[in-house]
Amino acid sequence: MTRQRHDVLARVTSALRTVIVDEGMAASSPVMPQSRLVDDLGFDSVRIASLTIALEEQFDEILLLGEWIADASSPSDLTVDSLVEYLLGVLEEGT
Amino acid sequence: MPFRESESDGVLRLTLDTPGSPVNVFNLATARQLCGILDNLDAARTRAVVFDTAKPDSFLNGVGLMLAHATRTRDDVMSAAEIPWSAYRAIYECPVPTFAVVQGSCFGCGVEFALSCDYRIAADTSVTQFYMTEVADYLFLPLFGSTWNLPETVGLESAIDLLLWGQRWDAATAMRNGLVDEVAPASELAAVAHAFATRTAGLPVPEPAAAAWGDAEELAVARTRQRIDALPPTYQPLYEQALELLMLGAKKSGTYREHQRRELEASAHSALSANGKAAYSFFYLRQMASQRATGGARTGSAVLSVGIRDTDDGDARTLARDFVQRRVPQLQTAHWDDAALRLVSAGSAHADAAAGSGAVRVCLRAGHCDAVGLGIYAPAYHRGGRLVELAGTVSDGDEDLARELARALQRLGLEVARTTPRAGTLSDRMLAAYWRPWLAFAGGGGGAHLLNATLRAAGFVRLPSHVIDDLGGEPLASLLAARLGHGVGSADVALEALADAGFGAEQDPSLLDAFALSMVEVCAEVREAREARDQTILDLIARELLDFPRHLCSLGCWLTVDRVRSALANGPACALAGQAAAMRAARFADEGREFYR
Repeated sequence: MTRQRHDVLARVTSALRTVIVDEGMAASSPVMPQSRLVDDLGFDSVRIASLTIALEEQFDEILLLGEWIADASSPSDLTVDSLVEYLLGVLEEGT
Repeated sequence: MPFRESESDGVLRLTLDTPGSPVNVFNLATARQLCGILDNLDAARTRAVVFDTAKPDSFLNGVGLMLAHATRTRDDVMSAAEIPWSAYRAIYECPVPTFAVVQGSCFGCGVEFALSCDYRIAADTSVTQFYMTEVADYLFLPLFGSTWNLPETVGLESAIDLLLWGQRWDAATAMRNGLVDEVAPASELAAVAHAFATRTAGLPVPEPAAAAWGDAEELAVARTRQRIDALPPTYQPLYEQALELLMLGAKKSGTYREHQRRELEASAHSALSANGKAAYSFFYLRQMASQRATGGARTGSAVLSVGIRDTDDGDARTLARDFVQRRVPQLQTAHWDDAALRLVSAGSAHADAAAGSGAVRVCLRAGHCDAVGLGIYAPAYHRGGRLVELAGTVSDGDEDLARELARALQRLGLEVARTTPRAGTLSDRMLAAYWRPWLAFAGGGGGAHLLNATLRAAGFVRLPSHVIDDLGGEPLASLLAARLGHGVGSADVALEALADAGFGAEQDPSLLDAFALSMVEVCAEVREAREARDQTILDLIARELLDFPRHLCSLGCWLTVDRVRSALANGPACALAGQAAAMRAARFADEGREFYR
């Protein structure tokens, strides 16, 4: 795993944990790279908006997640790993 | 489990309480549990089923969005919808009478859920609202049977109002239109619902029936087609399809299951379209702006005492009185001296940094009225506009109170934009930026038809003439005169020239470029001076106040550096936007920093 990927994964994990704690979500499983946001962690559309805010605190800019969602074949495809991949692409584009 | 089950007198009560969520969401766990319960229902023992909510602010919001948009192909949509679809069908085909007991927001699939039941009872609270978000907000078609059920329940014309034109109904309006069968105070809701269910228990469920079809319906269809023709061309096929589905539903063409399949196919197509995907993305921006206003808290717990001083200002008085009359559960009126929040008229228009015309000043806590912290500004409120700008700064100690106020306003069904403007409200500045190129255009002899055709092609449903109607010609002329340095008379003349809603075939791309330059000036200024937490706030104002097109996602998404550079290369556009705007836009282009990544 590259250093940048590791860094993005750590920030995404931290943002996910922030939302899970702040919103009082009873996540049934720990946050892992393969965790599915909807199926495993219990995220819905409203919580994705909260995640965008939590990610902004981590990355210091708004990174919209609409395209990440629209590119998935099913809500089950929205994993921590796929989010990291998407953000790496967005961050790469901006540099 | 999302549903809590209880049973008495042969009535099964299923209380929805999505775990760990401020609102009820019809997620997969909910659908699976419901299918399990209804599949195993013993009609000899259970003679009626009542659905209610444990959350007083939310009956049911949302399922379709994530479900329909986290998909790439038609088959993906079909597959994702299968289980929720089965649950809706199980309610519709339930062998005993079913009741939706609606309290709180009933949006999108929530309306479809209620429609799948045989009867609906609603709480008479300000937070109880029926609103179909699908077409009106997100440019996709509903997928859980509403186009079948709605015409039969409310008649074709009202069905069109609700689905196509995004009308928002409170409990009384829903009752008047036939959407609900009974309205009750929140404190009596459970008892009224139980009594209704007990009366009806064991009776045969109502059979589906075709809606009335006669001259009135033909006329409604003709009028709707006329209105669809005036929409931006890119929206017309979706609205046509929504109308077709409602007509088929009204005539009960085919069976319920056949219609549901038809509806789902159409919904999948619309959700997968570029317009649908872009419109859907705005959901997150709106949610972010909403969370900025309340600091993330979505359930108000504190009771706010509110003192109201009567005022001659019409808008301010209406808004202040609504706090009392619409019975927001969180608010209590109190004696002026004892109130935590005191609402007074803003006084002279445009003179105050924290409040513009028609604003309500908010004094937080007794004794601080001289140092007004916040203004509530709702420029189109009297015409049904839902934007409220909560403008101004408060001390750290009062921040919680300000957030509770924002939450209370949201419970009234309003969209709250929290801002800290240095000069005038951001709503007024956005309005001025919107109008500046149009006034220059009209001043140079340009006509409404060319402007309207250009804006319509870009996706604006509400044209400048509608904005004039919303705000009133006179107040708008004063606002523009104050902000743009025109004389009131010349602003008045220009507005009059643009008050026509007609449009021709010809368009002028310079107008849209001028709009981009004018808007980027205010957005860049606000970002630089940190007058709003982020661009989502301005995007909310642009959507609610200026009707920024849904299929472009948001103003901030549309105003890319490349777009602004291209507009700067258009000489006539720079002239219409004005030198100051063009210079600020050039700086934005040089900096190369997008509003969103």
